[in-house]
Amino acid sequence: MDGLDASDEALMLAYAAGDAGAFEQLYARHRGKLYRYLLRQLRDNALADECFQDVWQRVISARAGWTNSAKSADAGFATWLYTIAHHRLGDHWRSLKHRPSAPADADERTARLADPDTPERVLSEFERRRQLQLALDDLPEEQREVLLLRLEQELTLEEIGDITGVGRETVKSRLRYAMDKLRSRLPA
Amino acid sequence: MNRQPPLPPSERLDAEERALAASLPRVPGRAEPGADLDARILAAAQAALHPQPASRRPRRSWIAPTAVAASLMLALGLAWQLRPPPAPDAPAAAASADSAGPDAGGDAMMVQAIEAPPPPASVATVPESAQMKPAPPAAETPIAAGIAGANARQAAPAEPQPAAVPPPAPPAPPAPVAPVVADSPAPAAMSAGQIAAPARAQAPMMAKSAARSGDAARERAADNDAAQAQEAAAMAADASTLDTVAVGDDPGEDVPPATADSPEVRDAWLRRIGELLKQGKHDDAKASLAEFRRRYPDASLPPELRKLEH
Repeated sequence: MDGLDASDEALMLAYAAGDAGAFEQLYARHRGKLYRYLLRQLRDNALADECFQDVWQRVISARAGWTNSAKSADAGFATWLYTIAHHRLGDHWRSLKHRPSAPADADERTARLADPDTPERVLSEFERRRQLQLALDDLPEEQREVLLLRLEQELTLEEIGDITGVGRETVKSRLRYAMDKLRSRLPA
Repeated sequence: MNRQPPLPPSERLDAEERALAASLPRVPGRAEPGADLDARILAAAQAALHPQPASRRPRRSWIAPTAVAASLMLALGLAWQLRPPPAPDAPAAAASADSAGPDAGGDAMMVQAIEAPPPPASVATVPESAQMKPAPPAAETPIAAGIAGANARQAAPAEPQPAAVPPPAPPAPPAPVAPVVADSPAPAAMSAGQIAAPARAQAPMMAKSAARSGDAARERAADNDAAQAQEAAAMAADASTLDTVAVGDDPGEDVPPATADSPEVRDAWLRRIGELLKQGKHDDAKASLAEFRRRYPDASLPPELRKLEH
């Protein structure tokens, strides 16, 4: 199959029909974004590797079932893929029973930073990013996930609702709260 | 890269969202999956398309035939256990099975084993024509007729069906286990009903085992002939006695008692002696009473029989 113009759904159908090359193209399209999505939530490469492999393993196992469900639900492959990732993350959080911990190098990074209250401080791009990262870390899990799906994956509110299992208005509300918190943490 | 349709204008990132997205910090650590992780996933996808053949196939090959054979055995066993009971006219069925020819079914062998005494030596020389004569009471019972008919069709297709023209009924076969008859020295005192009763009681067993094998059927036919000849002679000798005794036969006594020593046997015997007395057959009554006394020395007699004893 010519994968340059084929849609994700057509590639997945081709893979379900036995075309291994279609899966390779599909994987190449989504591997980076999916991995970064997981890594932003988990903040650990080993955990991200484990979840990443699990998500793709579920895609492989459910290839035949996806054909029927995708036709009936008219859902896109990306939505389905991130729904699997969302559930995998939920399993991970439930197994930990607590919010994700700070990254291992958080203290080191903080020590390297200058005191933001010094009057001579000049906001650099690095400082801006650091503030944004801190603001993201402070967000509740549901709001952070919605924000990342929106900003990084550029998914619609309906798709985010399909992935997270909530309605469009709930997604919209979570997104608005997350944006407000980020605005309040960032310098004007 | 993704070929999804473009978002509608209302769903595209606005300026603030786009600025935030551009400002998102780099993810900590490695931002891409490793090459080994890619290789593992692609290999899993490739392997899923070519599943390994089941290694347990030879083990499964015998399961289906064994299950079918076991089911058949179970069904046959149930059918054998649940088959309808034979009709009471089983002697007729047995006789009809006898007429089925030398290759008749094996149930006749069981009939002989149950009811027939060993055939006399002369029976073995009975000519084939005599052995093959049609058995008279064939097809009185539908089941027996069916069995006998099927056996006859298999064994001797050239033989005409005797059931179409029923010949005269032969006399009942000798009853070997009738309690009263076995202990009584006065066969003349026995009614025709009493003689026939044990045979009727044996009917279910006989019908159950009708028509076993060809040899058995031949011997049975010869035995029937011999028995018929003996019965004819006995009937000729005791014709008058049997005729008169048959008048007083009690249908209620057709059912044999459980044991020869049971009180019902004694009572029936004494009633029979009383009937002989009423019919004026004092000699027969006396002989029967003597035998009764010899058999049951301690039994108490009714007053009218006590007088006869002295």
